Amino acid sequence: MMRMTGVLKMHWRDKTVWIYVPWVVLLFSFAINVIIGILTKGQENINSGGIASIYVYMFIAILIVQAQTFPFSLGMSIRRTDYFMGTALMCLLVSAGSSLVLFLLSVIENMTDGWGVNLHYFALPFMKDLSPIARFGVFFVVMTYMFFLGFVISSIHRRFGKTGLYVLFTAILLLSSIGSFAMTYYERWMDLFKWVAHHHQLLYVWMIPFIILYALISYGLLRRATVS
Amino acid sequence: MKPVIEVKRLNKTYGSETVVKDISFAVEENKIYGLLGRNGAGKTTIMHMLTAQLFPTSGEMKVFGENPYENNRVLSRMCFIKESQKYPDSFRVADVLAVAATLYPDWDQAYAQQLIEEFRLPLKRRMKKLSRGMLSSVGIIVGLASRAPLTIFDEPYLGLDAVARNLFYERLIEDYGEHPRTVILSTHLIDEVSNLLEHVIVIDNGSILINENADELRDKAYTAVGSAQHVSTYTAGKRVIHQESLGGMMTATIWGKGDKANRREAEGLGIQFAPVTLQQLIVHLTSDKGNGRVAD
Amino acid sequence: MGSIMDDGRPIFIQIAEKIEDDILSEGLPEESQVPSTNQFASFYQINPATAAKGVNLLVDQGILYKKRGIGMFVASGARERLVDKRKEQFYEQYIVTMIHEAKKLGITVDQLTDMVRRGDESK
Repeated sequence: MMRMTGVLKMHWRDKTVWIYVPWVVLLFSFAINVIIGILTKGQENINSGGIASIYVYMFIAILIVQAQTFPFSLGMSIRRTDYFMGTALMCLLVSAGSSLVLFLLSVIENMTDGWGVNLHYFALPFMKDLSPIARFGVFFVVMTYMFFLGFVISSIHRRFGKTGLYVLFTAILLLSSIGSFAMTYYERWMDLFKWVAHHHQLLYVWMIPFIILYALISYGLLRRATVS
Repeated sequence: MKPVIEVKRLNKTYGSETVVKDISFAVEENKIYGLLGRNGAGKTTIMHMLTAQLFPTSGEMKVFGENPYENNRVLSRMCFIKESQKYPDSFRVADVLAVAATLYPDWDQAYAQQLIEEFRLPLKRRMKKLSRGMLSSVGIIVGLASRAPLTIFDEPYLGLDAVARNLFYERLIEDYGEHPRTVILSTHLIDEVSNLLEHVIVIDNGSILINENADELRDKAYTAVGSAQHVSTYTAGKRVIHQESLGGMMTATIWGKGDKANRREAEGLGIQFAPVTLQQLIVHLTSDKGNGRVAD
Repeated sequence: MGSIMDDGRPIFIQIAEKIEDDILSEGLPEESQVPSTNQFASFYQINPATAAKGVNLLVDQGILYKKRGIGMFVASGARERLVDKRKEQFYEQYIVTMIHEAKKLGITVDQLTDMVRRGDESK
């Protein structure tokens, strides 16, 4: 327990990577959108999609963070388990904190009719009918998903090296080709689209089992990972 | 005395390459050990296995009586300072020391502060921007201030000048005297550290060549100097581990104790004895041309 | 500095010799306290266990003795015993070799005595 919090404290020292950079990037993109909104005098609806930047960033950040902190942590006599727990906890905390801010910004956005310029930056169109808790849930689950997706990929790299990643991506390519071929062959694409269209508001819930799966795989891989 | 490390028939192979071959040894509590040998002999691999950063291919390994793998009882009592240690890019010297302070239960902050001043480390500088010598200083400070019951230094002073190395030796001896603990020092600068060591383990080609008390080892070999003809006569039937000649003179390093009978025999032949330093001895035993192999 | 020690010979013997030298030169008078093993270790940059071994060698010979909880002290009569021991060593180390070398060069014992006298006068 004590050593897990040690890992947490270690990550916390690196606020640049976890907090400053993602928010600077996001707020910069937001500012540009606001400027565009002012220039167009709010006459057009702007559905920016710029919010994706913070999600992509978190995915990449964890790749780099793990590559650098795992060897360092083992060098400092930290157990792999404590490293995993501490880092996973850090991801959840940052995810929760960021999502809360995103949620509050989306509330402000709705109250100000898109910052006065019809800009839909934080409140995405499909969220309109969601309850506040579900809106927070979307932000939180998607970000956590990005973290753990990054985490499992860097864990594969840590455990099996470059070869592991080649095998993984080849397998994904192969499976998705076979899958789409099968879908076409059995004429199931329409069913899939219908299902997605029907469930799109709850789609994020389906990410939760994947998050758990990624976490378990990451843990299993890190337990056998080495540093030399 | 209670062994801190017990290793039995440890092996490590990468594919068809065997890096560590069937190694067995024990490390006793509160002694300073030298783990010596040439680059690539397998020293670093052994230390990585002891600290559970690498997995042995086969064999048994106990540290503080337990398997170190994922074991906080063992790991929290162990500090491994290695030359190849990686640090997060954004970390400054102060960050590394702060993390170390939270992880090592016996950490002494005041002592760390003193060492930072003595080694003139810039606390605010990023680890990435440090010179090789400063990077080594960070490791040395962590290793000393952690006061871990088992502290392992692997080539701890690459890039450090003679003054800083000397400071390290002084502080190590002093602090060890006040806070006895088990120290393993792996290095190729044998001459510099040989007086600090109580026990010497020499690894060659993945196997243990010597595992011996340092003072006893000093007494195990000697050099005979004299005319080539006489030295050849003298060395006949003795185990010569190194031999060199210049003109009509010859020096031969002989494995064995130069006792009174030897001395008398040598005197008769006009041969003089000279001591062999640990460094010379180990160089002779581990060099390819040396007819090494001392099995006893 | 480590270089004070000669690395080819057991360090604990050299430490014992250093203490003996100190007693002979009366840098360490009889019944005075000897530095601790840690002090020896730091000063000569050697392993404290080795320093302790050197000190214990002299304890075994009765040159030093231990006062519980205080430290090591030079025994009474230690200097005289060391002088005797060193005289014997002097004979072995210098006289025997000198005579051996002198014979090689054809120097007689009388000539040798003259040389010793000459060496003493010029000093």
